[in-house]
Amino acid sequence: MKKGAKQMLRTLLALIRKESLQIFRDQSAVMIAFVLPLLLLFIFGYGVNLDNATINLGLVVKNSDAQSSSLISSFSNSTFFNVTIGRSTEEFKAPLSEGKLQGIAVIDEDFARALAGGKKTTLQLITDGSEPNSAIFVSAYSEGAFNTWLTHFQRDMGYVNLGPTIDIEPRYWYNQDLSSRNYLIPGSISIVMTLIGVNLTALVISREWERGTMEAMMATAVSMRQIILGKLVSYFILAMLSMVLSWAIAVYWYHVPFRGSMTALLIVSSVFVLSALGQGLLISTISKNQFLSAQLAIITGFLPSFMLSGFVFETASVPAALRAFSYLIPARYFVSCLQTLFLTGDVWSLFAESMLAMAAIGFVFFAVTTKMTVKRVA
Amino acid sequence: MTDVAIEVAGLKKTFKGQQNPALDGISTTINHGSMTGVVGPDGAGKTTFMRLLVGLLAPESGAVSIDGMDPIKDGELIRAVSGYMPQKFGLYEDLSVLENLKLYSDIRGLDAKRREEKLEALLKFTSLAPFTGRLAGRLSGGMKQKLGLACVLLGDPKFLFLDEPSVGVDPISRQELWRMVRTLSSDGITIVWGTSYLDEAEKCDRVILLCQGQKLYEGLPQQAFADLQGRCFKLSGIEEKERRPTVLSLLQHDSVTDCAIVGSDVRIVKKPDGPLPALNLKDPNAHWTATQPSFEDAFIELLGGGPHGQSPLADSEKIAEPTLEVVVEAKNLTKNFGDFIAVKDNSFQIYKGEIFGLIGPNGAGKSTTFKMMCGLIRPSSGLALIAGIDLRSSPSKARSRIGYMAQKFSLYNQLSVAQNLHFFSGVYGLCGKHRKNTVDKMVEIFDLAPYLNQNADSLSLGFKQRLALACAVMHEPDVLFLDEPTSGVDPVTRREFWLHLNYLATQGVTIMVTTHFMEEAEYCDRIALIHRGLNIACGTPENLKSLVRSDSLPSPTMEDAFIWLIKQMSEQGE
Repeated sequence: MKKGAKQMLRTLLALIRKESLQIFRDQSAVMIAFVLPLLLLFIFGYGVNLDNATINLGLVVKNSDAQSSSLISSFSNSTFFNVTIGRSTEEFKAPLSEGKLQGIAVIDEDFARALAGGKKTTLQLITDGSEPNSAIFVSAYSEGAFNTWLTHFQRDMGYVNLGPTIDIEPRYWYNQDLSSRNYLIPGSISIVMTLIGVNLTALVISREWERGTMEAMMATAVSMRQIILGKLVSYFILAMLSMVLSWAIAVYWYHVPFRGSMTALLIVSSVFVLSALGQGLLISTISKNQFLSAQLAIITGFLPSFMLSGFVFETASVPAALRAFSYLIPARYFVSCLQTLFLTGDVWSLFAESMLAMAAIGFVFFAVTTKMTVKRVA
Repeated sequence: MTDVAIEVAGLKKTFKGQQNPALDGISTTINHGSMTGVVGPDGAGKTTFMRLLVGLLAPESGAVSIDGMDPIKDGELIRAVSGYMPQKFGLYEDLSVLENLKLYSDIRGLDAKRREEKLEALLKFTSLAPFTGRLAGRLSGGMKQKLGLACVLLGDPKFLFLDEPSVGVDPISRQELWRMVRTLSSDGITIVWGTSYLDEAEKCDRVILLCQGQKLYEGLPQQAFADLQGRCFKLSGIEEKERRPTVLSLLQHDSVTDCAIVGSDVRIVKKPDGPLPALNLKDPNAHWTATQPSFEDAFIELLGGGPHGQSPLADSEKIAEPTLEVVVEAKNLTKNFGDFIAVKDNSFQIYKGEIFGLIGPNGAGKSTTFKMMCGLIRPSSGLALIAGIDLRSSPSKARSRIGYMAQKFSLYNQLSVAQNLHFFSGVYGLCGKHRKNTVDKMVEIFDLAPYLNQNADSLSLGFKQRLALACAVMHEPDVLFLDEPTSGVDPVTRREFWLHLNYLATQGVTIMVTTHFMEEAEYCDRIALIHRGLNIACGTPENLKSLVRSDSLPSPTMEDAFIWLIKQMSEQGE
């Protein structure tokens, strides 16, 4: 029996050695594990910016009275706006559609008269609805600027019936500057690991089927479990190495704060990688050709963990049905753990809950795979 | 040792979604230390049979017993004493020769000392020692096959299962492989060898002939054609241009069951009680001589004889007189892929109405030459001319005169037969009444009427081949390019296909084919032997064979000639 165990270990080591040789000779594996993280972190670090930048606003002024001028200077003096003055809405139509302007504000002809007469005044705001995200920014900021101006104006005019105004002073905990980079970069680590765990694993196993090496292996005394274990161990190590690389870039290059502990990061990541490997394994069991595996991996692995994990889009703002579905995606838990680890610190209650969920999902993947995999060719 | 090693009883397997079983109730026994050939065309059930023997598939019904063990229940035990080499050899192409061997020896549990001994012995046995550092993916087909065998032999197997190990491999490697396997067999290893080459069947101790999941024959290979003794004749001494018309007329003779061109002769198999057909040839030298039957004859006989009667192609067009007009010409064709020279300085000329074959193993440069000839690949240097037109300067003009049938047939599998015909007739610019007439004619000639509404992928290999040929000749091309057209089909289907080609050639169509079947070379008027990118010899099959004819080898095969030529070339090189 002892001899049997020794031989099993030896077989496993031989398989792992084979796998490592293949990984380092295969350009695509190295690309996904080490070049892709650099690229993704670069994109999310520099390219993608969900923060409010300066808004290019076209301001249509029909009358040059004192009130209008005061409102104009209030907009112009704000750091949020870059204002262009015009005489009619028509002038700004083309720049708006070309994206040179994010919005147009129209100060009405009888703006001053209405204000003086204490009547209701309006400020018309036109935004580009084809870019809803910036449209919302524009309207919120313009509204804010206008209201601030109005309060000051009324106070200056001596209206007293307004009562004391309340100033809200927001504090953004854990990410003081509300820098999107600080939560996008931790999140992108989960994307990198999903790619290695799901896509690469599914692909390399399918490749063995396609090239007939799986058949040759199966005809030896090696058990299917050993073949799979050899792959899992190798790709587990690869994914963890890639994770550490991504972490180092995040912390040392992009200066994303890391307030948690390395131990917690390693433990949480391990559980996530296992669930991802389980998914990759299941895909390669269902499909034995590389093309289909790649498609399945992207649709069931990469896209959900990109869109429904809360990495870019907060899960709170997706429809209820999709939100319910997102609880089945391991990356959802991992992203929130990562963001917590980087920005908040070790919150073990959250980690425990997340790891339990990821482990449960992973367990289902492995259980289904084991049930479907028999040592048969078809 | 003649005791029973493997016993197979009523083995049946049907795959999901398939109507017909891949293997339908096969029973057989295989003796210890014997070498058994599992022979048959593609789709016959060879691979299924092998996989069932090694337990990679579970049978639907029936049982296998290997030395009393069941492949499914006692899988681990059987795998410990057997070696299985799947198609494509099961090698890790991104590992080196040595790394592959080490991987398999670790898996087989060889200890360090034993491993060293075994590796040394096997490297010597396979003569792979100089290449241990080379990646398996960079080996030639023959070397891959030897490495695959070495990996399997590491475990000292008592049973060896080899699935089509020699397909597409060069003749020298094939010869060496046979020598190696014969050595193993004499050491007492029980060998099961799957192949679609019928000449290999004759060299086995025992043969199981499979076709469409059925066992057609089992026994000694010589026994298979014993009944055909005295029924095979060849007609020698006829004029070259008379051969094809002779075949076409002999096929209509009542007592002929099979007829084909073999080199400069016409060979027939006649009915047991039928008379030899009378000859009304002008040539006084023409005469019949008795000849030896082959396993292929037996196979054709088991399938009910070769094609017979007249093809509608025959009377649909006039017969063209053979001329010496050069229609296709290659001038110093060369193609490099990076620093790899796929084709080097290849020149040949093909005359009007001639069937010209490019013969060689996989990876020799046949397909590359072929693709340059029909304008699919741009040559690195040299010229490809069709009717004197340079493919590079006016490709569309030259291409309109070409019919092309790609490897694995370029059909739309999800379209019906009728839709495929309709589509290709449109592609070739046929329209109106002419288009309809042409499609109708093709349906009639190739007997496609019963299948018109069937999807192309549900057709048998033989019918796919017919349909692909129909699509390629619809626009009445002057030149027909066929890339491995008869790979893997049964001999009757192959005969039929060549019959169509013969008709086309008599009508003046110039035909160029590629093949790795040496016997098929004999059906061509002239051939070029391609080896490692070089055109090593060009001539009629008879010419090339006569190069090796000697007292010790009075009737050499094409393969003998090829081997001799390769050896000549490498001697000159040194």
